[in-house]
Amino acid sequence: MVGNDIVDIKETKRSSSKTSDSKTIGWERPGFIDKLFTPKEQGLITASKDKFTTVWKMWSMKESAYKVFIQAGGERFFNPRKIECSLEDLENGKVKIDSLILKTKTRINENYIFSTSTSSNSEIETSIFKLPENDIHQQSVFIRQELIKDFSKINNLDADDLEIRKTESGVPLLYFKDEVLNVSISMTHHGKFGGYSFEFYSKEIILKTI
Amino acid sequence: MSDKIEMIDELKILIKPYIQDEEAYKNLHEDTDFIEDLKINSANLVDIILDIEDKYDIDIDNDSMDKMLSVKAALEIIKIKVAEK
Repeated sequence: MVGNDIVDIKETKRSSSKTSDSKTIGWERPGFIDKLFTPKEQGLITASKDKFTTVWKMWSMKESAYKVFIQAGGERFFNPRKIECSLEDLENGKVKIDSLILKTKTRINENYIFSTSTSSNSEIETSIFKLPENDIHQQSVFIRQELIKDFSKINNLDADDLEIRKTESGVPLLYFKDEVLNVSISMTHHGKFGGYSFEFYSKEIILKTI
Repeated sequence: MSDKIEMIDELKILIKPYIQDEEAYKNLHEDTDFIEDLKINSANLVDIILDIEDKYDIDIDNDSMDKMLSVKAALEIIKIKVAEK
C-alpha cells in the first residue's frame, strides 16, 4: 500500500505568518510543535539546521503514513503524536503508526516537500506537478485525470474504462470497467502543487482481479 | 455555558480562516467533518485546536484531540473541558 502527502512551501510560509489581528498561526505558534511531535521528534527538530524543513518533512511523512493506515482499515483519528517518524538520511525514513512500520521517501526542492509511505517493497510510480487550477475541487479532478492518464498508458488500458471512487472512509480506489483494481493509489494537493502515487504492479496482477 | 447554537456560531467564527470549502461552511451543522467536508488542512486543524484552547481557556490533551474530527465531537470536548475547569 502507498500513501503520499505534499507540502507547498510558499503556501505554508504564507499561512504561517501573522493574521490580521497579528496572532501567530502555524508552526511557530507556541504549543503547535508540542501538539504535532513526540519528544523524540522535537529533539530532531531542535537539533536540525533548517527547522522549517524538518517540521514539514516529518509532517508530510506522518500524513502519508496515516493514509496507508486508513487504507489498511484503521479507524480515523486526529492525534499526530501517535505517529512517530525516524530519519535515516535526507531522503529515507521510517514511520511507526499503531502496529504498522512504514518506509518513507521524501523529496524536497524549493517548491515543495513530498513524502510517500509504503507498507511493501513494490515499486512506486509517482508524479508531482504544478496545478493549473486554484479551486480545490478542480485541483482534485485534475490530479485524478493525470493519474488515470498515466496509469492507462503504463498498463496499456483504455483511460475511458478507468475511474477513481472514494470509499466512505475516504480511501481512493481505482476501478476498471466498474471492477475495483488490486492497486493502491494515493493523491495529494496543497497550495499550487499536487501529485499522485500508485504501486507499480504487473499487468497480470492487476487483471487477475477482473 | 452558552447553548448549542451559540456554541456552533462561536466555533464557526473560529474556523473561518482555515476552511477551503465555502459551500460546506455555509451549510455547517453538527455532523460537518472538518477534513472531509470543510477540506481543512490537517496542520490547520492544530491551529483550530489551539484557538479553541485560547478561547475557552482549556487544555485539550492528545486523547481528546484524537476524536476532534467533526463539529459535534469538538462541541462535546469543549463542553467536558469547560465543565472540568
